[in-house]
Amino acid sequence: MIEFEDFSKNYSKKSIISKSNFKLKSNNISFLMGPNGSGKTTLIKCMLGMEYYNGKIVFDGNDIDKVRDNCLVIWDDCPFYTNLSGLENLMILGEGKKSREQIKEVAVNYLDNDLLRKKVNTYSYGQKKKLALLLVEVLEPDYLFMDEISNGLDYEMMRTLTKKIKKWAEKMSILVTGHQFSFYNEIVDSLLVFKDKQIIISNENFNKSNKSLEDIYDEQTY
Amino acid sequence: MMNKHINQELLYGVYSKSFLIITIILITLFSVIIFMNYNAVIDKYHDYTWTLMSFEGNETAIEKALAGEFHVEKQGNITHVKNPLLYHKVMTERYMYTASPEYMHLQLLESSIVFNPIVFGLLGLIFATYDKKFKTIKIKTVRISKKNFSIIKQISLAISSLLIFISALAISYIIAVGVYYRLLNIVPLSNFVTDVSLVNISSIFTKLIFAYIIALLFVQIGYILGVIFKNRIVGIMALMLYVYILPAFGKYDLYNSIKLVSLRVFDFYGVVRISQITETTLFNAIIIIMTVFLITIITSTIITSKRSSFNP
Repeated sequence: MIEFEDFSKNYSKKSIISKSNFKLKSNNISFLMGPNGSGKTTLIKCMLGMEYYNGKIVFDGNDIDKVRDNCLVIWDDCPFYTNLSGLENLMILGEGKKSREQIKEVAVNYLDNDLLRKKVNTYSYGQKKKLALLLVEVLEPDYLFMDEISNGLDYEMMRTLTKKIKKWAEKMSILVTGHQFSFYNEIVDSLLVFKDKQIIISNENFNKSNKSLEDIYDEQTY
Repeated sequence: MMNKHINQELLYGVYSKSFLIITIILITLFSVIIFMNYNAVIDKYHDYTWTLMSFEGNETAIEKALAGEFHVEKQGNITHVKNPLLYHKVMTERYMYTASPEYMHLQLLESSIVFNPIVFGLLGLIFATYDKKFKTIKIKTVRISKKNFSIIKQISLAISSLLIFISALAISYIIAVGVYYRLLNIVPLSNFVTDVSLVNISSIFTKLIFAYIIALLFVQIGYILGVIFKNRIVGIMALMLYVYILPAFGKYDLYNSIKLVSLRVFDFYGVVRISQITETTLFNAIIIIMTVFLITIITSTIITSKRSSFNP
């Protein structure tokens, strides 16, 4: 479980996120809803101690520095070493958790071996996204944060990914952000929304409700 | 835990061929020294044979000249040599000795004072900038703190510098041995054997350690320049300007201090020479080197820790 106590974020005197108290359940897929610029990516940066913030963020009773090794973020721009091949990137960023052969086996569901041997500067945006998803399979983190993950993915990959994310959630605590609600409707367990710059839990059992993310977004009238 | 992240850095160096390129550059530069020494032997040997021809086979005169002494006098730009036959023979012997496997490895270590600043400075610059350039710092600093990120980079640089330096040295030594055997086909060694008693008695180990310290120091300087400027070109220009172009900034100058210590460690008997230095004490020089080394480690770690991973 990730607990936020009196969490807030300001840039100089400008408030980005007002004082908020909420929890992200373990082995759960939490979705953070908000318009562009509302502070979704900023929240992820704060969680990982990459930005200063007020309040407390606790990961299963631990400070971020104790669990950092078990965290992974898939950023929207999917940074990789573009001068190296996909496989070499996974060997480096995979921290030796899987061998070259194991990576090739896992990769079958995402990218074919020929592409994996090519330099990342030849990859499309969607292929880079797939490479990032492959990194999740290699590192198998306890805490996974995905920023705009569905952007750039083809329909087939999105269908595969919904199943994958559900499977990952059996072992991982996952926080996702994005705007393609139709993709997230199927996978979200609990829903967090920005309300007057505050983050609140809108629906703890979203998967059991009959509402769609589109409806809730309309209700929020951002 | 740190091991796997050090491995990450080393793997990048291997996959990106950065290590290979740096090693090749260093071998190329070492080869320049080997061929400068080769040319020195050939030039001096030719001077000797030409002078010998002027004696027109007068054995008595030749023996008398070789048994005597020579004097070198400089008048402005003109150098006068008394007894040039002996002078050219001694010089040929000297450069044959420095080209030999007995001395060449020491000469390569001596040349590290000239080449290590730029070569290892470049390595430091590459390591300081590549994660920023590809924005992969955003992935890495999720899984390690920024402070550890910087420390890991610096440890990896120390390890890779040692491996690169030793590899380049070993390969260059093999090249030097090959060149020496080629020289033996041109110059009859039996005529040019000399007993050399060198001034510095520091062991090969001390020489090797000092050459590695120069590499380590400049890899750190390259690293901090990369951290500050976030740009390899600006960093390498600054390094070249400091090492090769600007005059020494007096007795507290770092490069001047390195030169002073190197005079105590190396013999500079071959083609590598040091330009004039500003006199200072050995103690001062060592303190300056150590201070700069510590400052670069601490400052680069502080800057990396404070700086956002998201700034371009």
